[in-house]
Amino acid sequence: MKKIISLFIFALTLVSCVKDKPQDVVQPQLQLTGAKKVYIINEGVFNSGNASVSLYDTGNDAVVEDFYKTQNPSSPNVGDVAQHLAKINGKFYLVVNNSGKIIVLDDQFKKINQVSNLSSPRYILPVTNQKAYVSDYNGNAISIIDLNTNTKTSSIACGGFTEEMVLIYNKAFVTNVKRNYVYTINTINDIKTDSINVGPNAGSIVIDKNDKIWVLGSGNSQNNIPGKLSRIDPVNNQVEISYTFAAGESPFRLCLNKTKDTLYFIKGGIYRMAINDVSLPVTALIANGTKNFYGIGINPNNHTIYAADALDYISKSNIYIYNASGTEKTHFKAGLIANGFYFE
Amino acid sequence: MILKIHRHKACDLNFIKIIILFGFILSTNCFAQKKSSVVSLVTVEVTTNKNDLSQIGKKTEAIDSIIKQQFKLNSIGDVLSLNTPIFIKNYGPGQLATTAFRGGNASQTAILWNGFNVQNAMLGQSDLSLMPSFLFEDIGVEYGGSSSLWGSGAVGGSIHLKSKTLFNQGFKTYVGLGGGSFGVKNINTGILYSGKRFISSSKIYNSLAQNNYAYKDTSDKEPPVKYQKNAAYNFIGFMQELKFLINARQNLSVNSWVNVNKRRLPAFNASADSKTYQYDNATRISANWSYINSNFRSVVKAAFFEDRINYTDSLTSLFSKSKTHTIIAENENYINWHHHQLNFGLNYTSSKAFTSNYDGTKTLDRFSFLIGNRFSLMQNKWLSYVSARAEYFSVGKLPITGNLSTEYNFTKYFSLMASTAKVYRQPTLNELYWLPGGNINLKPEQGYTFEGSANYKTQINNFSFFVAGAVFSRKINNWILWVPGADGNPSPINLQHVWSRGTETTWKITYVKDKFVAKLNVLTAYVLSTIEADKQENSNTVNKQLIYTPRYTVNANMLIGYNKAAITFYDQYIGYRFTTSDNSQWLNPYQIASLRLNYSIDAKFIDLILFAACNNLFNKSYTILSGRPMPLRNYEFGITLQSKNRNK
Repeated sequence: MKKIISLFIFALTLVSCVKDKPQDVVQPQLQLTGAKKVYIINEGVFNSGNASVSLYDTGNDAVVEDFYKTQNPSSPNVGDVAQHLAKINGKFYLVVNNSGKIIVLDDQFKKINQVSNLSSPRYILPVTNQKAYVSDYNGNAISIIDLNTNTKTSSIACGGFTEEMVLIYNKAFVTNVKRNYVYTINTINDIKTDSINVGPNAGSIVIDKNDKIWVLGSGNSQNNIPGKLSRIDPVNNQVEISYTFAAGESPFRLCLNKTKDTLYFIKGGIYRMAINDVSLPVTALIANGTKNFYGIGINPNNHTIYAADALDYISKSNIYIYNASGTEKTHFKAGLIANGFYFE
Repeated sequence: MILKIHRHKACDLNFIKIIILFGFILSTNCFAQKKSSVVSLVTVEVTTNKNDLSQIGKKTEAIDSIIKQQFKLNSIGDVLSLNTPIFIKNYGPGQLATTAFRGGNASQTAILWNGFNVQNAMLGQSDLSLMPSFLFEDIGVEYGGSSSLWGSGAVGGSIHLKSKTLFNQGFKTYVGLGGGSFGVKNINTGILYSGKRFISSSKIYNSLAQNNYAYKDTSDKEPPVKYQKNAAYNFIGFMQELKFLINARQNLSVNSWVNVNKRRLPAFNASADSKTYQYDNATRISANWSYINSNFRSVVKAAFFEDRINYTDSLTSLFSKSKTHTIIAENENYINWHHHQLNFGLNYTSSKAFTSNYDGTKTLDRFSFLIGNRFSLMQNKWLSYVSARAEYFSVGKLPITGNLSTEYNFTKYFSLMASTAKVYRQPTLNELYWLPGGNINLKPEQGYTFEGSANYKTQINNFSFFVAGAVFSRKINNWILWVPGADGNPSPINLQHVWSRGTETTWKITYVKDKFVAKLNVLTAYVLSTIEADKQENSNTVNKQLIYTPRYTVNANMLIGYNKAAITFYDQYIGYRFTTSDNSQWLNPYQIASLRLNYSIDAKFIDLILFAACNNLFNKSYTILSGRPMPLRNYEFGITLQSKNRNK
């Protein structure tokens, strides 16, 4: 009996129903076509250093989940919290927020340079061929980047958490999540010139076909301040009209279609609103169900809607592609916490 | 900030001097004590308590005195990490350390101080790095769920931290001084007076470090040695225990534990700047009155806990202050009848949170009734225990829980045990009320747990052997996870069903001959903890292992001692830990070794123990959690002085 028990316990020691070592997923060799590509920015889990960029080939639906790693095998890590990807002067600029850097890549997505010494960069806006502004989470300033040398040359004091920016009439309009204002900066002399009250938590900004600026604020549910969508005339910096959401609603990620006449945003589901509509949409174009929509983009080439479902924030995101009427065409996996898209 | 820390350091040194002086003065006094007269009064012996009942049919483990001696200047997290199969999720030395117990998370482990659960009611977890091991004479681990006895949170297991002071032991003092790499300084001192009717035990500690340890950044291809920044800590605390023997049938104890803990929190990217620091301060007071006669014992207990967490990040202008008050009142009664023991009792627990992150002050009230019966048959060879607990909860409903456990001791060498229980964890204050996102409609996590285990021990000449094995299975529904709500803000919901199962084994071989002792202990754990159902569409998490839950852990230690000297070699293997819920990313396993030496000097009035340790002996680069590098090889050394009991 004792021997049997000892053997049983010994067997427990050796028991191994599941191998400890996880199996590496072998990425199939993909043949990319000459069709337009979609780059998916994956934030990665905050403080985990696992940001990445995925690539979707619209020609054959091929997906490279970690395209940055594929193109940069010698230094495969993007860093912590990839926030924004822009193409400026033929080069990609990948803003990596919690690593305090912007990775500069060639058109093949191979790293060629890096802008360092940034506090916590969020978005990059080219204001000339030589100069770009970079908003910042906690630097209390907009950084000015020399696009030729890819170095930070100076900064413009701007308290709070600056976020998305647009450029029109030699003026940069800068959203600020921690203030109730959009700030304007004269891009010729880099001086802050004005502020426009748009309510709290405004981080999204676009310019429509009429050269009007739209700003989306998420509100502040802690203080029962609802979200607000505001239209600004960039000539006189006045809010022309604003729409207030219902209490407790926190919309975010405002974007435009190719013709710049229709706004899209996330409020649980995905909502659509023509710029001439006189009220906020009541019904979602795409209901969220159990999805956690976290990023959205409208493909300017074919009007398809790309939506990123970040799921539980700690597993690979699902990317859904919908046609213009909101019907799902396909879905695929990208990296962790996909937050946005860059369309070729 | 740096200036502040230095100023703080100056204060610490003064503080250290004061407590050294305090300890030595009192130890001198103790030598002057005259031997007291022979004591004839029979002290009250506690016969049965909830702890005894909860251990029937279950695997338990007590940390032995040699280990406690070797870890006297370390935290409970350090002790458990190397000496039990519990995976301690540690962000680094002096940083947050929580448990992953049989596949459960930190809030599914009850941390019990003298029977009171000290988990922070807002967070539902406790930080084991803030609990110095020297404070507790008894450190025990109870594996498996016991919600019917310990209430919410006792799902994966329970950690018991207890004082154990007997009457009439005389006057003792103790001083421990330690130092080590990266500016570690430890001091703790204790003064015990144990008279015929009165006990006073005072313990003071201070543990601080610059914590600028060397590590290698494993994300670099050829990792250079880097140094941790912004990780200094300073923990100060005081514990006072008073115990009165009212008469042969009654005693009363009053315990308090006050601690002020300040630490800086390093950035994820350790080379980045961080101006974050946090205060974790706690005041814990408890009282316990006990009455006993031949067939009846009653205990009335009460406790008040205050937990304060002040978080400051001046870089991001994030300042958060929170305070929790918890009041516990409890009555336990035990009645012996024939071969049975009936127990029943009431518990009232009220937790109130004060924080700007809620919409006003929030309170959770819980009122519980417990009843159980212990069966003792076949001359105590066969013990069984059955219990049930019903609760009123001010926010939603809590399940009726129960426990059924049995053990049969075939001989004094061999026993079999089995236990099954319904377990639960109530939602925490943060999960219910955090703004934005708190979900008042959350249901408690609940499920069933089963375990079976066997122990066998034998003695052959100078060798003694102990072998134990356990299998367990636990299914939990309504597992709470924070996911974005309809407005995009993270919100906790009852998202998943999780099945945890696995095996644990313990192997101990001891050889003793004259002054020579050799011990080999090996503990293994195999834990599968998988998501069985997930409400999110296309989530790809079903049948995947929970994050930061290693499937395999092995702890081995070998002690060789001769006369007053001992050397212990520790070796630990922690298997792969997934960092994403779809198991697409993971951390590599690590195996680290350490060496601990101690040497006792038996002087006339004092026991003196010298010790030294080398952690991470083979200088391995490793992280327990993603982005939190652990130190390369480092050293500890120290000395403890303990006055001799002159009454004996």
